[in-house]
Amino acid sequence: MAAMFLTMALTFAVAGGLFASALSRNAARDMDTRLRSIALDLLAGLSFEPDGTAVLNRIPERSEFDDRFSGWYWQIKVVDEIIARSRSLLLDELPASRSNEPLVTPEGIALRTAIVDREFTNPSRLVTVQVSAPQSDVDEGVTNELKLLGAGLTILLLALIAVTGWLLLRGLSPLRAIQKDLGDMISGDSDRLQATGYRELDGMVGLINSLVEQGRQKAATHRDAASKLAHALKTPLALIAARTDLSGATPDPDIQSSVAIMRSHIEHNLNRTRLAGAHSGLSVRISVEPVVRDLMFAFAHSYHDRQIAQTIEISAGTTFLGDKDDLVELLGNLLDNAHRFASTRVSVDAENDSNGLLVTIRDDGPGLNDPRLRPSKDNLEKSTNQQGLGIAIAQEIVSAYDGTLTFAPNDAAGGLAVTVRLPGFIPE
Amino acid sequence: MRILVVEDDKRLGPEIVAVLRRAGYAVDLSSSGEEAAFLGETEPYDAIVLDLGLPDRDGLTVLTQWRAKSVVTPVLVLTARDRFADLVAGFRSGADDYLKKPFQIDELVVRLAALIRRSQRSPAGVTNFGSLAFDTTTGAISLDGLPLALTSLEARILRYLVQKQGSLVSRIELADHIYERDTDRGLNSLEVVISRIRRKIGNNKIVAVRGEGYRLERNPEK
Repeated sequence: MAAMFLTMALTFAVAGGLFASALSRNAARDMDTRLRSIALDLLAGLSFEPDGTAVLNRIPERSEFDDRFSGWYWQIKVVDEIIARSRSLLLDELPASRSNEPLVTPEGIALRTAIVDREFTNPSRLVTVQVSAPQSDVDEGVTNELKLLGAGLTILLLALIAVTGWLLLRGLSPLRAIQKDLGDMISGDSDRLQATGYRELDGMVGLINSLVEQGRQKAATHRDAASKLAHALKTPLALIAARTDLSGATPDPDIQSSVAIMRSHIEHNLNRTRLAGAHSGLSVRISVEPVVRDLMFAFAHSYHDRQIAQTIEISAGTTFLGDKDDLVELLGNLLDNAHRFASTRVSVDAENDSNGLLVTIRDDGPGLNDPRLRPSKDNLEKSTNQQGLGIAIAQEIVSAYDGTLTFAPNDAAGGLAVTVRLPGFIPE
Repeated sequence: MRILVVEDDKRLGPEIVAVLRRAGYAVDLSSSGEEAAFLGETEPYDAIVLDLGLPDRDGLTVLTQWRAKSVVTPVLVLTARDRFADLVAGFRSGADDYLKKPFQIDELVVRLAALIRRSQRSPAGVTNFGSLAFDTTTGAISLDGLPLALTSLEARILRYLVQKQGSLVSRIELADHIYERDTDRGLNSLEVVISRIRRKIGNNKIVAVRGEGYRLERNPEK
C-alpha cells in the first residue's frame, strides 16, 4: 500500500512539473503579446507633420514607464534616431534584440522586449517601436500561479490517498476476517470459516470449509476402518486365548505368547493409525481438567481393590492444543501404569506455561527400576509387555506432537515422576 | 451365584459360559441387547458380564438403561474397544469393572469373583462360617480345612448360604440365585439337593424353616 501511495505522489510531482513548464511558457507569451499591443498603440498614436515633425498623440499610461530602472521601457526610433522614449529610460537606449530570449541591461535587469516596425510614407521613413518589461514580472506571476497549483495538487493528492486507503481497507476487511477465522481454526477456537457477506468471497470460503471437512471425514473414515479391523480381530483372539487356557492343565505358552504378540501388533498399529488421522485435521483446544478427572474416575474403579489415593492439581483454564483422543490415550496410558505400580497414591499436576502444556504424573511405586519403562520403542512390535507397550504408545503420541516425555525419581515418596511437555503455541 | 453373560459372538459366548459354569456359577447367555436389557431388569443376577458391541443395541445404552431403572447388579464390561475414552465412557455409564479383549480367561473369573465379593461387601480371601470356609477368590469350599467334593449345583447352594452368613434365605431366593434361566425349578428337587449337601457336611448344619426357607447354622447342636 505504501508503494502505491509513493507512486501516486511521484505521478502528481511529474504532472506538477509539466503544468509549471506550460504555465511559464504561457506567461512569457502573454507578456510578449501585451508588449506588442503597447507597441502597436504607440504606433497608432504617431503621426508626422508636413514638415516632418513627429507628433505622438498618446503614450502608455502605465506608471512603471515613469520609474527609472523599473524595466518597463519604450522607445520610438526613426531610422537610427530615437524620436521618443519613456521617462524610465531617461537618456538611455534599449539594446536592439529581436530574439525571443530575454535581453539583459547593463544594470543586470533581464527584459522581455517586443519590436514593431512600420514604414511611413511621404516622405518614406522606417519607424521602429520597441517596448520592454522586466522578466521578473513574468517570473513572479508564474511563481504565484505555481504556489496555487502546488497547494491544489497537494490537497488533491492527500484526498486521493485518503479515499484510496479507505476503499482498500474496506475492500480488504473480509480477507482480514478470513485470516482471523483461519487463525481461530488453527488455534482450535473454531472449526470453520464464517461467511463474509461478500458474494465474491463466500464461494471461496465455502470451498475452503468443504476441503477442511473432507480432510476431517477422511481421517475419521480411516480411524473407523482401523478400529473396526482391530475390533473384528480381538473377539476371535479372545476365543483363542480362552480355548488355550482351557485346553489342558498346562496352557500352551507358545499360543499364549502369540496371542499377546498379535494383541500388541493390533494396539500399536491402531494407535499409529489414530495418530496419523489426528494430524490430517486442524487442532482443537482441549480443556485438560475434565480429561484427567474422567481418567482418574475410571482408574479409581479399575483399581478399586488397591484403594489408591488420588490427587489432582490443575491450574484453572489449562488447555491442550491437539486432538482430544490423543490426549486421552496419552494420559490414559501413563495413569494406567501409575495406578498399576503405585503402592498407595497417584497424583497429577498440570499447567500451561510459555511452551505449552506441562503434565507431571507421580506415584510411589518402584521408581526407575519400574518394569513399565521396558521395553523401548524400538522393540515395541515384538513386545508382549502391556506396561511397556503403554509407555511406548505414550512416547509415540508425544513425539507426534514434538513434545518430550521424561522420567525421574519422585523425590517426595520414592516412586516415579513422569513429565509430559507438549507444545501448545499457535503456528504463525 | 447367578451370572448373565451378554455376548453376541457365537463361539466366544458359549466359551465364557462354560468357563464360568466350571467356576461354579449358574450362567445365562444372551446375544441381543434387547433381551439382555429385559433380563437384567427382571432377573436377580449376582453379576453381569456385558459385551459392548452388540448387534441390535449398544452395550453402553443397555447399561445406562439398567442404571436409570435402579438396577444395581454389578456389571463387568467386556469389550474390544480398547481406547481409554471407551473405558471412561464405560465407568461413567455405570460399569463396575472393564476387561479388554483379548483377555486371559483366568483374569475374567478372578475379576468377576472380586466384583461379586465387593458388591456383597465381603472381605477378600476366605469367608468362614463355623467349620465351613469359602474362598471368595477361587470359589472352593472346605469343611474343617478339607476340600468338599460337591456337584456344581450343590456348590452353588452352599456358597450362597455361606455368603448369607446364617441369614434366612427363602426357597424362591435360593432358586433365583442357583438355577439358570431354562432350568426346571421344582422346589422338590431343591430339597433333594439340600439333602445331599447335608449328607456331606452334616445333617444339622442346614436348617429348614417350615414355609420360609433355609438357614445355615454356625455351631449346630450335635
